[in-house]
Amino acid sequence: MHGWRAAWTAALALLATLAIAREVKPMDPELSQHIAQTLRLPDAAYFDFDQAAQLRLQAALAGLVNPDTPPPGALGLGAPARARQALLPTVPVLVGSVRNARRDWQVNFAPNLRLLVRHVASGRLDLLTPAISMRRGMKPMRSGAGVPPGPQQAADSLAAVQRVDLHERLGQALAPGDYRVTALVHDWVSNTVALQVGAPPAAPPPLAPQPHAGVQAAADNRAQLPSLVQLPAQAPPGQPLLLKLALQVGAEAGVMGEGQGATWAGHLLLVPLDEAVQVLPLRVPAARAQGGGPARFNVLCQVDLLQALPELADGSYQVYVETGAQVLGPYPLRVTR
Amino acid sequence: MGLFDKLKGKGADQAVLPCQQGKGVLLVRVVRSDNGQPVSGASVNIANGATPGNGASNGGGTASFNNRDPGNYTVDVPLTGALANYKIVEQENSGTVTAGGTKILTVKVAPLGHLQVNVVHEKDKAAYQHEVEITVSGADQASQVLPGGGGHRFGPLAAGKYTVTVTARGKGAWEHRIVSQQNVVVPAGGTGQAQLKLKRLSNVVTPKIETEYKVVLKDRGLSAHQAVGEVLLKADDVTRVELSLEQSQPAIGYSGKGQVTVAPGNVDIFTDAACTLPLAGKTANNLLLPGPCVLYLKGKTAGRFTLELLLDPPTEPFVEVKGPAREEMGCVELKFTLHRHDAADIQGMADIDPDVHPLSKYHKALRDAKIPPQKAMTDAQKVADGRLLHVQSSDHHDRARLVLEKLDAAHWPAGTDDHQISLVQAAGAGLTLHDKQHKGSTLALPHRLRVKDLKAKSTELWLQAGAVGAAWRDQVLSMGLDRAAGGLAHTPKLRGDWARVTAVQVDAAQLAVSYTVQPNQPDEWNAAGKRWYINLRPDPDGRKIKIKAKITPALAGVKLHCMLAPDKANQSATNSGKDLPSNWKWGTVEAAVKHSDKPARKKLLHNGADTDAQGQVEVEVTLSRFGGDIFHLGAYIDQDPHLAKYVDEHADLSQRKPALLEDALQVWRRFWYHEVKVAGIVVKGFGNAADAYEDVMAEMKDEPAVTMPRLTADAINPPVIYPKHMVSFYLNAAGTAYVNNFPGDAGDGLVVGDSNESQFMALAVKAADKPVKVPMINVHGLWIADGTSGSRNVGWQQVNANPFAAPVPVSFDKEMLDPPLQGGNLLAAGTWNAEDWDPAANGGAGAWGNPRPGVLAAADLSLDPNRSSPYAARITGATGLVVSPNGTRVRFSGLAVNGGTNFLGTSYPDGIVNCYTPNDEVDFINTITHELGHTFKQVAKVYPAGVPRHGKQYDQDGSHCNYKNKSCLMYESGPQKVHLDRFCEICHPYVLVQDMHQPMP
Repeated sequence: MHGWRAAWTAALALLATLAIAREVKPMDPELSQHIAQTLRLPDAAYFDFDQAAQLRLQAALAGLVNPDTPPPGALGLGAPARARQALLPTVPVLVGSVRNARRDWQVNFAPNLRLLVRHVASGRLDLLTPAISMRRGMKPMRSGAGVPPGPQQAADSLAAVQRVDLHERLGQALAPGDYRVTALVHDWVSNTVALQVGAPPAAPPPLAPQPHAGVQAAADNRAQLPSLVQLPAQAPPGQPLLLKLALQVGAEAGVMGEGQGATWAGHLLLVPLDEAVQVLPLRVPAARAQGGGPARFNVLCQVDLLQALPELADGSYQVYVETGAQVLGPYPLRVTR
Repeated sequence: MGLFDKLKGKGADQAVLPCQQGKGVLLVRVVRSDNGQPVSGASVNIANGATPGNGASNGGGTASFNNRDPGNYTVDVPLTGALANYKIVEQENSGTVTAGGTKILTVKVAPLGHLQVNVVHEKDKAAYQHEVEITVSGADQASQVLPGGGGHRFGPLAAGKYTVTVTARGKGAWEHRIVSQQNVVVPAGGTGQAQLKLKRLSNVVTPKIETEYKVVLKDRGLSAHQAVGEVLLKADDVTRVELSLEQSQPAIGYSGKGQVTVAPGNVDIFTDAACTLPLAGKTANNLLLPGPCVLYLKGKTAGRFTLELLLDPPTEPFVEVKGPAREEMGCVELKFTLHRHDAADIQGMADIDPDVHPLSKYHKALRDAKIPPQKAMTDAQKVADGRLLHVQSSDHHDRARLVLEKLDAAHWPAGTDDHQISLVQAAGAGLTLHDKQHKGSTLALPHRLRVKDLKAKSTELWLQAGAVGAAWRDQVLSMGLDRAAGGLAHTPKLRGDWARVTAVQVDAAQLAVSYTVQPNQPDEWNAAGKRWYINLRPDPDGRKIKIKAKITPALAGVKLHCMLAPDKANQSATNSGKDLPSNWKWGTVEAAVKHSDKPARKKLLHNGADTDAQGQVEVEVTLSRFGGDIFHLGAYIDQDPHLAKYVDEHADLSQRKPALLEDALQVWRRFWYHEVKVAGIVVKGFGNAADAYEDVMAEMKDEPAVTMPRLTADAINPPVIYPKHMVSFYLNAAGTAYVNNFPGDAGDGLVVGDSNESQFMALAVKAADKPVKVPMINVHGLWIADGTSGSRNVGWQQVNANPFAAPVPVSFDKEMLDPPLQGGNLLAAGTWNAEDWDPAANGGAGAWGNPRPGVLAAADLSLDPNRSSPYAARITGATGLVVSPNGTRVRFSGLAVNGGTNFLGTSYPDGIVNCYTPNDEVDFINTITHELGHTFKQVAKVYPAGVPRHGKQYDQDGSHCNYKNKSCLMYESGPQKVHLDRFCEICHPYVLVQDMHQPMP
């Protein structure tokens, strides 16, 4: 057992006991949930989405907030349960948001909107910027730049629903299988929608662990393992910046396996404002958890972010953990080397 | 002796008396002739003289006659009595007596004896038939002729010593015709004996064989492999022999014949040099005598044999036949084995993988690869094919292995060890021999080895060509026989074995890219600039070139291999502007983008072909897809397989060079752009955009612009002419605010986008000779429809009039043109809610009341000509709103617009639209090069297999590059503070290896 594992286990026990989640949700989760519910439509509606539907949904989202005192806002996703590209080469996802003018000034929505498209079984993650067109464009205004909206405009709000065609954005047909799609806008994270594209392969090839500098994993087969992410908000210069992760996952996260071992495929995402997202793929061994029922696997790993991402620039980030089934986070992080 | 002495010594017993006056004395001495002793008692008479007298010799042997009158006297000494068996042998019997003088006369006498001389003949009784003459001389002399030999008794003779001589007379051969015996003594009163031998000689006839060589070459029959009609090259398989007879007594003569035989019959015997007349029967005497009889032995079967000359028995007397003469000889086979490289063996070499990392590993493997040994050529191959050699130059070329096979000692007779095995080349050939395959020492031709040495072991040599020939197989190397001078005259024997050689030279000056531009086809070859444009045909066809190589002499059928030798500086900044990134592992970069000049990448030999009648080949090879790669053209013959290892400037592998054309060509790409304009609207030109492509080894060439008539432009829907103030914005340098490039400018701005660009691009004319042509149009604004905006709620605004005295600013999450490109109105939806101020309400404190809704009309929303932001609109009124004199407030809900979005440029399948940005001319050029980059599939998301992912590539606004400080021209947006105005060092190699044949669809 790694030396760090003992300390890690002790911390886990303490945190689990106190049931303290270290998840930061600056976005109004309730509003997000409402947005998600609003965007939950019959499958056909996603494919038949038009201006009228957009205006109708936007009106519905606008109705979720008090027009006189709109909150910063929230983010949500809607997607069909199934997409059949063979019949219609489109995989629609609706990105819904409500935000006030101050929030829009603080975080320029369009360049910071990202869709995480996870192919569950293979672990492949595509990171899309759906509000940005595929052209050389005028440089976008940086978030927080210039004069903030005054009191009069600050309360102006915007309710937007954007239809994103994953097929078009990816520039190719999506591989068949189960997907999980999540939207991020810097420190906002949407609900995660499940989407099945075509017929999933009967037996996806098993994944194999991929060693990565700065990433250590340990075996743990306890029956229960609460999901936990531990990350300091910042680390002193010259010190390791350790992210500790505990997960219990199963087929929903694409972790399949025979016997006592499997491989978990996930990603760490470090999201700066207005800049490119740093993605660290993780392929670490997962140990079969004790107990009956459907197979569950425990993931216990530690990532030294500075070692694993040697080109990580100093600055502020929102850190997310993409698990295959969901996206954990954000965890604010200040990097100072 | 003085007289006194004479008297005293010889006549001491006789006194000499004084003479009377006037008288003289006569003394007569009688002595033995054989011993000088005085003879006494001999009577002496004065037979004639003035004073006669008689006397006798006294004991001193002297008879004295005194007082003699002067005058002449003659004396007589009659030998009688006791001296009857004596004989006067010598006498001085007369003399002159002078007055007062003494005259002494001496008479020598000798006793008598006999001499029996016998003549003995050796062997042959017939010799008796020959007459001999016997002569004796000495104290006496006599001779006698004997008719038949035998003996003769001479005498009486004066006793004493004799020399007896016998002379054979008449015909006949004698060992010595005259024989003599000295000091034969005839004793007084006795008979001396002498016996002399005469040896009669016979004519001894000895057969004699002389040979030009003691061996005869065997013709190995190589001429059988010559083509019909050729002058057949035969071995000098004839050895001359000369037969003769030696006679000891030619005068006797010999009339017999000779029988010439060989056993075993390894050779045939002929009487003519051409070997057309076989020797039949015996050799006539008249050929052997006087001789020589010249015969010719023609080799037939290897092995030793005996040449024999057997003479008939003599029919004449005194003739003796010797022999037979025998000569141990040999029929010998000379053989050398010539070797050549075997294509199958080379092909069978272990694979040498060029796709390894680092490339130096390949070079090491290449260096260490053992080229299979040359394979022995058959006789047929030696003759019919010949050995192909490249003329040597600076030790670059290979030599043919030549093994002089060990001689079969059993075939070589004694006395031939010093014969020489010679290697000779035909006149005009330029062959040389060497002791090593590479470098070593040169051995002059003709080259000679002693038979003795080649009997001991075979010898390995290496054959090199020194000068080109004129035809196939026109140089002949012959293995023959020679010897030192002596004996019969001889000529070197050639072609005991032989082989033919063809010597050629690949003419480096003739190496070239073979290319002729075809009508209506692109010109792919810039011969002056040494640039080959690889993208003018589909990949990889566009990379295929033909190397033309030529040999001297112009022979057909010579296999030439042609190579593309990569320049050492390929994949480096020297040739390509940027070094190949270290994470591009050459071993994994797919072979499809590398140069290909071999039928199989892992094999040694390059593509090849047989020369045509002009001695030329054209061999197709494929250039790499790496722009900037420089290749040297090389060519070598298949008998120089080591030259396939040539690597430019490699410490080892560059030492031996094929024929090379250095820096023959460089990989380039070329494309054309074709500007489309609208009559009357001037936007901007393309500046120095071509420079960015020159950097990545691509030529950007312009075509004359094509112009759309203004009326045509005006008729396009959605419209392409908008007021300038509406279409062009940028973010200020601080990044804090948008700025309008043309505020308040109502002039015509050209706006082209997705919905209408194709109508412009269609004007560009396709040209078969410019297959990679990109239509481009520079515009004031590049706009596209962008759906419906989000719904905006705008809080309470107090208004005092409708339309509003001060328009209410509103921004959206979409940019806007009016009219929008998707058609319809700018306003997609929107309602208003209004309340009026009631001063009386709220107990006089006043309150808002009379709430009422309304729906905005299209006219209520517009764009300000002086707006700064493309996201900004203005609400100028609320249709249906009646404003209270006490004041009215209004708020807006669900405001949505038909949005658009604008870009700096877009690369469409049929062309590029570039948006001119007067705020930053440099960035405008970057827009052009950026969009062309997209046209050519940048930033590369698809790249050759094995090339690592572009580390700075990301998908935003297309596939873009996030190189340092967003400085690469392929960054998603612009302008940027730091701008390279070039592809960055990360993009650069991807552009270099990009297939630029077809613009991105």
